[in-house]
Amino acid sequence: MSLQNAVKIVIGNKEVQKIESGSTTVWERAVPAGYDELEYVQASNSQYFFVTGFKLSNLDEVEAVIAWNNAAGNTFGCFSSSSATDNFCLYAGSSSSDAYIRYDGELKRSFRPTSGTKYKIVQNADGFFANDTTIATFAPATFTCANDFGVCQLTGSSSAKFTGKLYDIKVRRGAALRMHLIPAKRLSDNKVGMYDAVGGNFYTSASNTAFVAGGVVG
Amino acid sequence: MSIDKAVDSTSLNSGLTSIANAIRTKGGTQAQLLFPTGFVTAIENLPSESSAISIVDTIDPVSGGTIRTITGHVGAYETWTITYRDGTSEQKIVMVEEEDE
Repeated sequence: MSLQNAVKIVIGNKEVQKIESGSTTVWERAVPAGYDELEYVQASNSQYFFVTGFKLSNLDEVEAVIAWNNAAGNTFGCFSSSSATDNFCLYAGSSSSDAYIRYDGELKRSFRPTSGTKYKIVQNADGFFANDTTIATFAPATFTCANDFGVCQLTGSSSAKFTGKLYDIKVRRGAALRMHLIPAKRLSDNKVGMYDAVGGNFYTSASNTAFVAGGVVG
Repeated sequence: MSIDKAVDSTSLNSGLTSIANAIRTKGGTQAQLLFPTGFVTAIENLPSESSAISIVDTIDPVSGGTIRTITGHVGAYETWTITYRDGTSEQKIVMVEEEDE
């Protein structure tokens, strides 16, 4: 394996955190030294978190690698109401129903994920894409969501929470990465959640039920 | 062998040591250098290209993960600072070779 694809580097018996050449970072672990990177975190219609103050707009793109379980549930995004024009979110069913893809005031229902299958999904001003296949397109719109970004639950919604596995979530605005959520376990208290590699914050479940950890990467 | 010039041995030894230290630093070695053959061989083995690397991050369209592509001059030497997860660090001199895609 070449260095560029390495997820873990060990020299002797010590795990490498970062390699620098002068002021250039050659390689770095995805999460800080006090965290283990996980393959995924798993939710079961109980776990969720909101990112306070983080709101999506028509300038943003959400890219997520996710596998749904059979149960439907809120997946990610900002939601006001079904009649509002500032929604940017996904409520996905599995074998039970088509997903609710909301963008601005639009609702698209043309995606039904297969239970247990991993998808790379992208939602932006151009449309909604699953594994690079166009699922829906949106009309041009200018808006900023009033509510905060949620993962596994949407602000203002009482619908079922996400059930399945979260592998990776990125939010971009143009070329800039605004958020990169990586499954992780904090070693100081063994809490499982998602580490934002951009903001440096660690998000654990806001409910009394903790996320279930996938295997440690590497 | 006849003697045609007297030299200050302390100054000569100091000068040779300075040259050997410079060769060792550049070559990333602590080995003793035997004069003159060791000096000649060590200098011949020094890289002739300037060190430079390029790092480009791209997104894997399938997995969504980040692919880091590292390219550099073939045979270029870099001094890498390696920080370990336990907080310790050390420097290593490595040869950066051009990556195959």
